[in-house]
Amino acid sequence: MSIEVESVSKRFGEFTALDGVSLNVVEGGLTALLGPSGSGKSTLLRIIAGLEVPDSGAIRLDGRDVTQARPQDRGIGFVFQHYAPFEHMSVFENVAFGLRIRKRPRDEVRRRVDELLALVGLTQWGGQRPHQLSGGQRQRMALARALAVDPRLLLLDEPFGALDANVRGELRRWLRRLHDEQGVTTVLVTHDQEEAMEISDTIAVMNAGRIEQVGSPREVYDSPATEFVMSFIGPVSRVEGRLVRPHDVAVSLEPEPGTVEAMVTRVIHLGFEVRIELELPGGERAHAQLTRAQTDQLELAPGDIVYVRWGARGTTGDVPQPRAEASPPATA
Amino acid sequence: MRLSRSVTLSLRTVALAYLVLLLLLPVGVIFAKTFEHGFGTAWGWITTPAAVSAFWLSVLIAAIAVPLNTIFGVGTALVLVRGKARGRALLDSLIDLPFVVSPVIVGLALVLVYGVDGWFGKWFMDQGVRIIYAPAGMIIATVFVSLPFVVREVAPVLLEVGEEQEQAAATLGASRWQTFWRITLPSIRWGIAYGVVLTTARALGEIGAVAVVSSNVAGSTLTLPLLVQQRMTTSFGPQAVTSSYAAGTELAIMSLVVLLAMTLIAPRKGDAA
Amino acid sequence: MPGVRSRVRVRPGRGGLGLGVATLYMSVIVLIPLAAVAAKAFGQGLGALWSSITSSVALTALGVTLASSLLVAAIGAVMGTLVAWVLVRDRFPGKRFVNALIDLPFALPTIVAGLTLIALYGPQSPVGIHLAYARAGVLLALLFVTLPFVVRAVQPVLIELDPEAEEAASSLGASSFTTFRRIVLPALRPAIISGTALAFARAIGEYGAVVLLAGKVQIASLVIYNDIESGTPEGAASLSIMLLAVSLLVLVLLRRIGGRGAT
Repeated sequence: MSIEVESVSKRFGEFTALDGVSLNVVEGGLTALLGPSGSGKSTLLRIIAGLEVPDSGAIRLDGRDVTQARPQDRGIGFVFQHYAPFEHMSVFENVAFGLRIRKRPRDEVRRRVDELLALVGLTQWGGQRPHQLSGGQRQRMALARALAVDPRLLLLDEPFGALDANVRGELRRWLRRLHDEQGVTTVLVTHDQEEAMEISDTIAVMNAGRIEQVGSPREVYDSPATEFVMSFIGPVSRVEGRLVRPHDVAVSLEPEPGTVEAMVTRVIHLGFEVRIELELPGGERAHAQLTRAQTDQLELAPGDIVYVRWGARGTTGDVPQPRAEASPPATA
Repeated sequence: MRLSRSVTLSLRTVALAYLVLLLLLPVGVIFAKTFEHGFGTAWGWITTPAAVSAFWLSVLIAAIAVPLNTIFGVGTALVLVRGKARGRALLDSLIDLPFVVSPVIVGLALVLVYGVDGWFGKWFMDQGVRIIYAPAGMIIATVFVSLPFVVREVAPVLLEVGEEQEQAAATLGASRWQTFWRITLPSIRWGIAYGVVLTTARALGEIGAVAVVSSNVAGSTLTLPLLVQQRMTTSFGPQAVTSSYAAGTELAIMSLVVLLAMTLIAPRKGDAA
Repeated sequence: MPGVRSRVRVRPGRGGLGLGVATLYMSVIVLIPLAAVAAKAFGQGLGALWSSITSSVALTALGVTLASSLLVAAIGAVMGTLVAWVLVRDRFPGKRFVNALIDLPFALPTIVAGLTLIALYGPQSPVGIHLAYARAGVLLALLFVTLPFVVRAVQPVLIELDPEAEEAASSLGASSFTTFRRIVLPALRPAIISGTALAFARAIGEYGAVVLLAGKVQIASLVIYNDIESGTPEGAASLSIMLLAVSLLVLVLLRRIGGRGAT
């Protein structure tokens, strides 16, 4: 299912959640709506789902205008952050719910639910109640439930937000594999940029009710359209009025043309990488990211004076600078 | 806070003594007094025609008042918690009125509205419907006094359960009615159960309001509580005591069943599962 | 962060229609009848209303009722808190039974409560305590009926109370009593007040538990009943208005304390 979001705005009292947002999602991919709290990503997702109605603008699914349509009429599947399990029903009945209300025959329901439980790895848990499951299992049940009615669009609202870090990692990779198998257009809301980078085909970066950039993970990282996108997607230092990535900072012991003097304030060993914290003559702080080998070679220690160049790539050392402000949207 | 042993024991003793003297002892004595002259006598007193019809009248009134207030209660709880309309806060405050109005005032109020000289009394008389001094009035009185229980028990549960399950059902394609019937109702069932139990207890035990609207005629407008009162105040000698205690014990046993239900359901109210 | 979200209605239309139906039900059952009482009281003219309210019968009834109810509320507040404390903080065999017992006055018909109390403390008492003053019997009956209000209001608050605050006070040298007075009691105060207010409102209107006892004692509800039976509804309505005014005051107080609304 393709999605067209056209100039959608939404306010809650004094607060503007979405400000004339537009977005196109083509069929079949996994798109992430990425942004900090309050950026409007969940609101946008809920408007696409029909759980909220926009103040202005339109939503089209497969070309059909659904702006005022109820969730029941959109053919979507929705997975909530806290799973919204039907507590008084067994896992089996939860997954079967969508089929039961469509009055499907008993054996068809049984077959489909068994299939789905196997798909999400919950076969032995069919008779249990949701509160007996772990967080990760509940999330998988919620997914199975949403998939049971063959939605053409799957929407997930911070699906891994309430889980432990290691479970989160496993589950997100599992979701990507599931998506590759099932092929359902999927939109995922998250504030975790690592998550978005790892599993999505396209990322729409949102901030304060607007979309700042839409692109593949690589595009968004390498060519950030705005300063916000650059600083949200990865680590940055702000020096001399520019934003620089730590791994784009070249450190040498000898002054060379194009370098600036800096003092090493800390050397932090983070396992494989080493972070060098630097202080510039003007008082500005920056950090560089080097490998262990590089650090050992340079024999860096706090207090050392070194010479740094911003932008290790290319001979001129120029890194394209992002705009300060967002501009009109792109297609996902 | 860790209290010394002697303080703990004293507090415990005072509390338990208070409860025994105030609750247990009186109820124990009534049982004793009922069977003072033997089980047969007591049984005789609750199987008189007057007593039997009093029992059934009480049950009938409850059987009508409880479902009415349950439907009202669930519906109103939904309006108050899930609704958007603007008069909700006012309605919310009014719900508590039956809790603070004296039952005799309720009776008076109904007489003033439905009695022969009342606001609508004439109209009803013309239709041939007796409200005051008839079971209909007693039913209305009972509905009044037992009105708030289901609302007040269901509303907090609705609030606690939250809307997400209902939204999930909507995304899965359930119509509004399907969502209500399959998701909302089951999630509040223990709140409803507890509210129903409280309503039933109140309905069975009501006396003040029905005393005013009743003609106290055995067989038609005498409920069990009214029978107890009548026997105590209009009979003479030890008969008065035993006969009314017997009816009182019958009521007490009915309410012990209710109390048991309350005790079993109360802990379940907390989990919406 | 967003405040109240505009909700999509996902259940049977319970917007304006539901509110309308609920209000209609309330009006027919509760509001119109109460309005009739007010109409009767004020309909006799303010002069007549005033002399009715200030008649010695009415004043005595009000005085006795309010005084008894206040006393019962006060005792109930103290004992109710004590009982709640013991039920939450203490452990002894049979505690669950005792806890269930607290609801007995809610479950038991009030007439039976009155019956049990004259059984024990009235004439022909087996325990040999003959209450010379029917007023004391009334107090006992009202204490019986209002017992659960304070206990059930205080219990949940006590259970939720963070023990760390008390532990901090102890570590700073406070005695148990001081800790109770300065840390625990303030936290319980809203619950105690709301429970006591409800108990008071219940007590001033109580009929069934006192009707058998109060032969010589002029309780307001009994005076109202007598007025109705003797064909003077104006008098009954006048006294009722006074009682209702007090009850409504209590309701407003409860609203202010909070914790009773669904909205």
